[in-house]
Amino acid sequence: MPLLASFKALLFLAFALTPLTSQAAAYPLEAEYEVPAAKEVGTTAGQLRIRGMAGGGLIASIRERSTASVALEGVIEKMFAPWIGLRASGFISVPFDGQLQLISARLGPSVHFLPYRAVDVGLFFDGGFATLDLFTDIRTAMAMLGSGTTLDVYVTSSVAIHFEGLLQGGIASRNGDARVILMPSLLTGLGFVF
Amino acid sequence: MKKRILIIGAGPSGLAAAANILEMAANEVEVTIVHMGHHVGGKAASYVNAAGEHIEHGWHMVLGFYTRMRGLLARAGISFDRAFSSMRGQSHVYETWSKRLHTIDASGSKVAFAARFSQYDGLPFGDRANYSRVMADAFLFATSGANLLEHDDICFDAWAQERGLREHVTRYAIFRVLREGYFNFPERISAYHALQTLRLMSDTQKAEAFVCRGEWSETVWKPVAAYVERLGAKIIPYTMVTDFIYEGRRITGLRVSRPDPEGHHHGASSWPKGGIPREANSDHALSTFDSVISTIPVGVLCTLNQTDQAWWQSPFFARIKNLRSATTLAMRIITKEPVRQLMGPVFGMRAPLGIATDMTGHLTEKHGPGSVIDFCGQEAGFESWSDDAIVDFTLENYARTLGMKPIARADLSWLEFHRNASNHEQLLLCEPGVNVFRPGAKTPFHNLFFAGDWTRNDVDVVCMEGAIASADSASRAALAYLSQI
Repeated sequence: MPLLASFKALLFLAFALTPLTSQAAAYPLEAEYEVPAAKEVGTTAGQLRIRGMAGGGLIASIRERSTASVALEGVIEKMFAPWIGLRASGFISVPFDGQLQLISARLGPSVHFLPYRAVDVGLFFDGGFATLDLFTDIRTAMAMLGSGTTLDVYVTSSVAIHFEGLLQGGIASRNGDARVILMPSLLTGLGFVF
Repeated sequence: MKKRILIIGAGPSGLAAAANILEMAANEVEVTIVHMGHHVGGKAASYVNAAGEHIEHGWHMVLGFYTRMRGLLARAGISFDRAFSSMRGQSHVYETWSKRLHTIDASGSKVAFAARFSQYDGLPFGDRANYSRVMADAFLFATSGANLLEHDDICFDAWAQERGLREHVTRYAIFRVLREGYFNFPERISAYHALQTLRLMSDTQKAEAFVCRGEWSETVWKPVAAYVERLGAKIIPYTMVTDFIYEGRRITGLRVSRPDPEGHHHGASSWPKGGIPREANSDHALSTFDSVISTIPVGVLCTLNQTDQAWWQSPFFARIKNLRSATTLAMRIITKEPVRQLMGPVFGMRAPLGIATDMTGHLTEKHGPGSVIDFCGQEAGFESWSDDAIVDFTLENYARTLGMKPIARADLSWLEFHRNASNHEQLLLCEPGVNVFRPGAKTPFHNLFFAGDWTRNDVDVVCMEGAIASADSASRAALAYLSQI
């Protein structure tokens, strides 16, 4: 019987204390002031994406052998929709041994196939102008077209590792001859996205 | 014979409408203003009552883009520089993630402000870049001449997220500032209101904030009322409209009664919630007018013509019933000893009194050696909290925000807290989709015109400048009507 009485007393206390404890008003807007951890990654509308890349490329001219060079590229891309953006690129090749050097500036649309995801692939097409051997006496200006494919792997909301395969092409006038210049490059780098 | 215009309400829109009409047509029109309180200024009133208590309907700022208001004050002979004190572009935001107060200095040119903001440490670097980019996009969009009204049916949080703002960034205090500033916190704010605000505050001069150096009613509204009286207006206090009387599409009379001044202790407290007490046998009808401009707040308007089904079922008035208001809260404290002084308002403190401004250096009248701090906010979410609970919570919260030792009531030489619960003191909520339900100046009655911050107008955001802009439309419409009859 004492056990039953204790149990009843416990029950009574439990019910009696419930209203007392609930009277201590909790702050009603607690959740409004919490800043949750960033969880969004991926390509979205409105984003501005800035990246710097380095890699290697081959610069080839028809009728001449191709030569390898270091490739450096900087890209600013503005997304107008989650899938479509406009990118502006600046490219410079650093030849190993005094061979052809290409510097280009291009602008064109980009397409992203996997927005809102941690891994995104895309294509771009662009055009602009370029110079060959800008820092020599035989510098040449020409129009340049480019196209390529991209792979973005988001590390955080703001940072992505970027891979890019790029093919640039144009026709340069050299010593009175028209020379088709092609430069395929593979680049990788870090992108800052905001 | 002069045409007669009756203006209901002696707040910013009622006084501005009277001034406009009499400046344009004093020889042709008679203006009478009726209002239910004893102090002019409506929701923008503040005054010291007979007992020496500071009564505040809601702390107010004047912003640089309030050009209509500045014009009205100048015409009334009020020196803006003498009446108002600049906060020099300073404001402060308390961020819970950093547990610190971060200062925003918006003085100087846009470029200087942008450069300073780039060093603002109130957000982590990646989030700051994201916030700045989206707000820059929003600013460019708002000032592009685009039709912003198309963005009224979405909240600004969602609008910004559609443009790439990360969801968690909407939770920082700096993004919440617009909602808090319009007393729309914890409610959402319409993207239209946010973008229209960015358009109105499109440079640092237009965004510069000023506070009144004294009580609003004495410093601003009484001189404006005296000005309209000099122009020929008659102002009748303690007259509360209870019903519109109409025939067809014309307002023929108003049922009015006299509120019982005991109901708000002769100005020592707010009117009680749920209905204004009236003096016995004071009901009568007013019909000595040709046209009426009503500046009645929407909350009160919805209590008129209670038994008139046809009125409230008509498409025009039925939509007004959808509008909601917020119960504003105001508090002034004077500390015995000075506390950490800050120029400009502090945002981001915990609701319900989430905005605080140190008024010490701005007020003409000195209040001893301590600091004078005004708090404002709104009640939503805290309806069940007692006045004491709100006061104690706010004092503790303010001290924590500023990194000071807790402020106890014993540290104060003065404390005034006002819960502006009655309908005529409530502020329109500018929530998403609200504009569909806001009327303009014209109504289905040919001689009835609406004004007030809750009506559609050229400024169109809920503020004193909006109220005064609405008076421009209503007074022009009323005069146009009178010229035809």
